[in-house]
Amino acid sequence: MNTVMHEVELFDMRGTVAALELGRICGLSVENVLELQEYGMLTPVNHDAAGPVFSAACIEPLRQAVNLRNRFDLDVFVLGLLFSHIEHSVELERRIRALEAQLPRPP
Amino acid sequence: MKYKDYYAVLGVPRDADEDAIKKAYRKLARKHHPDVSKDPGAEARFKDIAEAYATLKDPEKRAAYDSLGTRRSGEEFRPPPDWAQGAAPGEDFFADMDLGDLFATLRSGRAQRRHAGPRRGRDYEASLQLSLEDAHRGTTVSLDIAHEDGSRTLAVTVPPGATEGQRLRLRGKGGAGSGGGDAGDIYLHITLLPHALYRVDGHDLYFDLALAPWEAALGADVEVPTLDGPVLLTVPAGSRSGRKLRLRNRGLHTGRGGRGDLYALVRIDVPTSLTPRERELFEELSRTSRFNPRTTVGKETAP
Repeated sequence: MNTVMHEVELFDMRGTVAALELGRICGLSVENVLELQEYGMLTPVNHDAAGPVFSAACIEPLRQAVNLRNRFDLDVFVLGLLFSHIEHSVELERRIRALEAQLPRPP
Repeated sequence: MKYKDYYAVLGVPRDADEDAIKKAYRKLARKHHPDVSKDPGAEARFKDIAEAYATLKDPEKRAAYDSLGTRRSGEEFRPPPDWAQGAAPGEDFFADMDLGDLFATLRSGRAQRRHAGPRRGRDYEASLQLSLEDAHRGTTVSLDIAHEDGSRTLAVTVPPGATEGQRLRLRGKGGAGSGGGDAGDIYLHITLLPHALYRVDGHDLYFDLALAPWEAALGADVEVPTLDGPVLLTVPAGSRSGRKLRLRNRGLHTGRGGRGDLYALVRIDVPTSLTPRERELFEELSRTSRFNPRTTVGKETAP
């Protein structure tokens, strides 16, 4: 079978992403992204000429929330609530991984 | 075109209200979603459920669907000719449509031509397990992705810097777009295989450094393993168990030109059997030392 080499793009969670690109990655319209911002559920890290810019760390929880929204036909407000909770879970999982890494293994 | 009984798919009566339809859909979506159900037919079942709900939740589409009358599932039928928007004379407008396509494109009681507007292709998700060394140095992996047009093998170059929980995107390698829409993407979810020596936190690494009591008390230069080969680490005198000794820039590549750090976690070990001389020396130490490791604990718990 012929295979072609493909380069991948690493999502650097410390990077930033514009509203349009965030919507594209997560399967949301820009209007939905801005609505989440209005509700205070998505907070931009700064603004550039094209509009608000968000932390790339929100991509993973937002994609998970959008998945649930699509699956269960939820509205944008519920999507935002889910996002907030998933974001919290992702942060807690990250902290657990960090603490586990620092726990000595039993001899 | 084959008729599908959308009410039967959702398990609701034909006069079910909007709430009952939504409730039935959510219940079935939870049960049959391919992420949840291990049933091999779950994906097809979920697709049917989603198709039925997409039509019945929209009052206009539901009314149009109801106007087709009650039929048996699988029964052949022709949609009303006036539903064909922009059909050329003699053209079989509905030739390559199924019921789902018909209602997906139905607007104001008219079916539009398929792919009327740009529609982005579907995104795919897959998981990718990497060894710690491969994540650090970068690697090429061969991936089988179950695509809508069959299984596809992709050779993917993973750059140095991927780590646990991170996502990689293969832009434009997902499902094909339609009507001029972009292709979807493939997202790879990275997990790192457990390593015999190191534990991972982001781009930092941790390992246990066992020290003899005298090495911990007096300090020592000890050889420790790193991803770049062994190096000498100076253990400061008086190092307690749990102390973290940092080897700067000896962790994983970050993908931004830098490296994480490597931490040696001090663990003081003792010999399980002593030679007569060792016993003599420990006994002498026990008699002469004023060190009491429980002093702090006593102070903290004192009323």
